This record gives sequence, structure tokens and C-alpha cells, in this order.
Amino acid sequence: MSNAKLLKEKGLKPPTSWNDLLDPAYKGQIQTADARTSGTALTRILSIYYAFGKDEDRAFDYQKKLHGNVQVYTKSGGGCTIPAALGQAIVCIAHMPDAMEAKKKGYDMVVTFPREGVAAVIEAVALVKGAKNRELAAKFIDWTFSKDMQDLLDKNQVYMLPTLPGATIEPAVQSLMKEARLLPVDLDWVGKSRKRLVERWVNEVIKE
Amino acid sequence: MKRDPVIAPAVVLIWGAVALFVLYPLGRLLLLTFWNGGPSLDAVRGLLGDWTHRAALVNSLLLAALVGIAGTALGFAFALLAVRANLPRWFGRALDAVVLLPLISPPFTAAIALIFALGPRGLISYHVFGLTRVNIYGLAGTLLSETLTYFPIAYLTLKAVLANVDANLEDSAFSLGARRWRVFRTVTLPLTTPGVANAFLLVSAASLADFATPLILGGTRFPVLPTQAFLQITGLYDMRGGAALCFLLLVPALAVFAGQRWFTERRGGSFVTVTGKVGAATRVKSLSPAAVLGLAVVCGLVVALVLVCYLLIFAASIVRGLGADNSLSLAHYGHVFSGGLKAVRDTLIVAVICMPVGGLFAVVLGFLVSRTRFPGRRALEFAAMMNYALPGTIVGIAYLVAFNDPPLALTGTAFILVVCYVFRYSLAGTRATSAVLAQIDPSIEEASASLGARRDVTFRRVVLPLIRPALLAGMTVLFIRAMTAISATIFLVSLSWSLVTVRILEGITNLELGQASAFSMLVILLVYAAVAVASLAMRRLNAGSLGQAGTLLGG
Repeated sequence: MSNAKLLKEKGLKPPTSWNDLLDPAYKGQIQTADARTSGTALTRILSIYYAFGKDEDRAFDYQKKLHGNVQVYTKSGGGCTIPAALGQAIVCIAHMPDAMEAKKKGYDMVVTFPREGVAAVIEAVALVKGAKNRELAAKFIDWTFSKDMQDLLDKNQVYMLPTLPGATIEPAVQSLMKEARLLPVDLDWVGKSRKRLVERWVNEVIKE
Repeated sequence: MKRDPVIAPAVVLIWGAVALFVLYPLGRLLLLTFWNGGPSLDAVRGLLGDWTHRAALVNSLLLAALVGIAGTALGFAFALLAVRANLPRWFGRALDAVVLLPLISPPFTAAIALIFALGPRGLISYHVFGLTRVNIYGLAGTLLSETLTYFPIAYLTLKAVLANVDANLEDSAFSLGARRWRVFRTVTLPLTTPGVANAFLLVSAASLADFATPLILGGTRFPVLPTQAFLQITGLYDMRGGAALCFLLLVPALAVFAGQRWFTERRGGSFVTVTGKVGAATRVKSLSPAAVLGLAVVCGLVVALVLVCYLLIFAASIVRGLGADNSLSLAHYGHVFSGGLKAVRDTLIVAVICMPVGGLFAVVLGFLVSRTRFPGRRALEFAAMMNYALPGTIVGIAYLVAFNDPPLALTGTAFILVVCYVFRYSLAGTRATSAVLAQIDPSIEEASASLGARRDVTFRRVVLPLIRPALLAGMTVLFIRAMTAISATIFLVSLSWSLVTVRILEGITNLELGQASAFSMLVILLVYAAVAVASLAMRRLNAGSLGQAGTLLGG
């Protein structure tokens, strides 16, 4: 997401490619999350990995260049939203719901997706082994997959997209999501590679 | 003194509590760090092999030293202005009220406000001065924010020290023909040097322990140890690494604490210049009008910056969306008193339980260490201080290691939150008790004993009424800390028991700036109210020697 006012001020178009963010005009004007603390950051790393044709070295080369424009890595995934909304940075690379949340609060933000594509994450729900109220928990989990619950996402403007076909999505979000090219993610590979990817990010991208 | 049937059980009880809630968790922490199927250094070695952790160690020490220097210098300037500039009383009161603000406000608020004031589009940096290439993240921003937060500690400490330097000594130097600068250099400064060193160590310790400010302002370019330890556990689920990071932090923290103890224990003899005869109270003239003006400008700018920061927080709490929709709204406060009410209630319950429990613990401990003799007295005194001396992150992680699993699965309960605060923040009460007792002749207690009263009766009917001010002071500090602390308890909260400070952190990270600000304002108001009530009560108890309640936070 980008701060509309600052884009205009600097004569920039909203970024629509990962490479747009390497523009020197964005130097010190991008905030995004720290891979050690934020799942959002992991999604960003995966997005770049898949966008660069699963070529890990190229993906990390790109991230090193991107690092030159990054002002700060926040500890939480949505941590850059308010700073970008208040103009402390032009761009915040985060999840779509954070951006919509800021727009809802009245901040003039532009939401764009890189045309090379992005990875999406699915929120999960799990039953703790040996849980005290197993039956109630199972009931709750069943409910989360019902249309009743998934419609609540739209009704309460949570902006997370329902996974159930046929659940309500507000038209503005529907048209926004048409611009997003979602890349298939190999979750097994992610599970196995997560630690290594984060370590590589720490040792190659942010090391100066 | 005769053997007493009450002292021994009291000592055993206090020792038992300290062993369980101070020594045991720290022992478990060290065990986790240095035991891997056998004695092992691999955890520490692994850390030192990682550049981010090495950088964190260096940065932490550097930051502590810089914040110590900057905070002490600023505190000294404020103290000079308050004590030596002949300013009207109301001015001193106003100064104290503003200066107290950063010290009692919840963590994160100063750091966040500073971004809004001095960030790339900050109110001051951009809208007033038109600067566009400001970088608030990293060493500079963290240093500035911590200096603003912790210089009040130095101010409160040095104000007391400077007030104790008899102005007549300066006068003697003047009458011998010395100029102002020379008097300052050869009389005032040497007399305050131990106080300055003490203030420096107190501020450094606070900076070393601070995890909230670097979390917001440090970024990846400026990692520090407490933040790294927190991230190692909450982000990477690596308990052992977190424990080892705690150990790296523990070493400098203990060194600073030992240094600080050394200075305070010397205080009695060396630099308090209380003489028997107080000469004619002359008008203090050690500062030239130009010097007063210079100090006033420096302090005025700092006060203005602090006020701007807190006005921004206040503004964020009463508008719909700061910067986007600046129409007035009480919606954020509405939220605090509906969805947020549970955190407020939980925090108040914990704080209110802490007060009598911790207060009693503090005065009994203070009484035992300063009025009775028993083997291991010094050891007990030292052990009881550990949780106070160590950074909250260490204490929190140690509690997490020790109390997360059966047989002592206590994390997430109100009990563990109370315990954590009691053992961490009772020290102020203990010190106040020792200070008050030092002024009370033991013969009063002996009179009670010779009339046949047992020690517990004497304690209850003679000592306790006399040390009421210390009890009150201890309870006030406990209340304030329970309302504002986060570094240790963030590891111990749960869905059942949450805290306002944790809600503030969540608000800041989850885009609920307005709510976080409203929570912060509420905490600040509650703490100010507590300080005001305590000050009033202390005045009625004639606790002149302990000064105002606010001073107790000085260290």
C-alpha cells in the first residue's frame, strides 16, 4: 500500500511491480516487516521467491537491492501501516487487510499488487491436543467453516477473504482482488524451508 | 538480643519465598543456558557466532553508556535549574510534574510519539522545520527516546544530591574571591561527583533493561539484547537461545548494579554535607543570570519536546484517525471502557493485590535486614534485590522457564503476575523502611520488649505505625509499576489475565493507534492520581524525609 498524497507530491505512480520499488525515489521510504517476528514478512519473502520463478538466489539478490530503499523493518506485519498512513514512509509492504483497514479509518492509501504475483496465506485453526473442552472446540471449528461465520468477515469489514465459495465479499474488495495474481505456494516446501529462508534473510539481506 | 520465637519463622518464610520466586527461576534460566545433557557452552557459543547477537551485545553496552551520559547531563541541568536558580516554588512543582511524565507513562508511548514528532513527516521535523531526510530509526532515535524517558531518574537523584550540598560552602568560596565557574568546578562538582556517578549508573541500567523503545525504534540496524531475547522466544520459539541472550545481558546488568550499590553505600560518609550548624541561609548565587538563562533554554526545549509528544498522544486519543480524520471523537475511550475494560480491570486487580502483599513483604524484609541479626542476612538482602536489579526481560524469561510447566504451571494466572511485581518492585519500600528505621532509636522497641511484648507485637504496635510512610511509599511504587510495566510480564499474560500495557503494545502493532493512546492517557491519569493521593497522605504522615512520592521512582 502507498500513501496517495506522498505519491502525488513526488510524481510517482503507485508501484505495480516488485522492481518499481527499487526506484531511487523510494530510498528510505519503504517500511515492511522483520522476517524473524512476522508471518507477513515470510509471505513477502515467499512472494518474491515465487515471483522470481523460484530462483532463490535471484530472489535474495532482489531483496538485497530492496533493502537499500527500506527505512525500517517493523516487528509486526502490519506495523508499517500507520507510519505509511501518516506519511512517515511512502510504501508499506504488508497484507491486503491491513491496507483496507487503514482506508476504512479514512487514510488516503492506494492498494496495489505486484504484477509478477504474490503468495497468499491461509489463516489456520487447530485443536490443541489434550484440550479440556474438545467437543466445544470441534463445534467451534465446524462453525468457522460455515457460511454464517464466513459472511461475518465481510459484515464486520475484517477484509480477510472467506475460503468458502459463495460467502459474501464486498464489491470493492472483489474488484481489487481481480488485480492480484495469486501464485501457488508449496506449503510442504515452505514448512521445510522457513527457518533457512529467515536465516538467509538475516545473514544476507539485512547484514550491512 | 534474646532469641525470639517470631523472628526465625519470619526469616524462614521470607527466605523460602525469595528462594522460590527469585533464586529458583534464575537457577532454571542458567541451567537452560549451560546444561545440555551435561555442562555445555554451546548455547552461548552459538549466540556469539551470530552477527545479530554480537551486534546486539555491543549496541546494548554502547546505548547504555550514551543514554547514561546524555540522561545524566540533562538531569544535572534540570537539577541545577530546580535547586540553584532561585526559581519560584510553583515553577519547581510544574517542572516536576512534566518531568515525571515520561517516567510514569506506559512503555512505547514516548517512542511512538517521537516518531510522530520527529519522523520523516513529523510535526516538528517536517511541519515546523521542513526537514524531509530525517531518520528516526536506529541508534539516534533510540538514544533520544530513551534519554527523554530516563533522564528524570537522574534529575530526581541529582536534585536531592544538589539540595544537600550546603550553599554556604559555595558562599565561602565566593567570599574567598573565586569566580562562579571556578566555584562550580572546584566545590559544587566534586561534592556531587558520587551522585553523578550514581545517576549515570541508574540511567544506564534503565537503558540496558529497556526493551520497549528499541522494539519500536531500533529496527534491524540497531538490535539490542532485551529486544533480541524477546524476539528469540516469541518469534523464533527458541527458549534456549533466549535464555542464553539473557545471560549475556545479565553480566553487564549485574556489573552496573554492583557499581551503583557501591556508590550508594558510600553515600553516608562521603558526600552529604549536612553540618550541625546551618548558617544564615543566604541567597544562592552560584549560577550567573546567563547560566540560568542557558539552562532554562535547554530545559525549556526538552520540556517542550516532552509536552509535544504527549499532546500528540492525547490528540491521537480524541480524534477519529490522527492525520486522516481529525474530527473529535470519544470512540477510542468508548472502546477502552467496553472491549478494553477487562484489561483495565485485570491490571487494577493485580495492582491492588500487589500493594498490601508487596508493601508488607517490603517492610518485613526492611525490618529484618536493618533491625535483626541472623545468619545469611546480607545474602537475603542481596537475593531479594536480584529481581529488581535485573532487566525485566531476564526476570520474565526466567519465570517462563520455571513456571510454564507442572508442577508449577503458573504462567497466565493472576498469581504469577502479582508475584512477579512483588519481588520486582518491593525494593523501594524496603529501602524506605531501612531509611525510616535508621532515624528511629532502637530503644523505643527495647522499651516495648522490656514491658514483655513479643517481637511480633512490638513490630505490629510500635514499628509498623512508625514506618507507615515507608509502607505507603512502597505501596505507591508497586501500584505505579504494576500499572506501567511490561518487560517481564509480557511473557506471563494470558487470555484470562491481560494487562493494559500489553493492550497498548497490541494496539500499536494492530493499527489501533487511537485505542493505544486512549489506554495510555488512562494509565497516566491513574498514576498521577495515585502519586497525588500518596503525596498528600505522606504529608499528613509527616514523611518529610522521604519527600514526595514521585521522588521514589528515582532510584
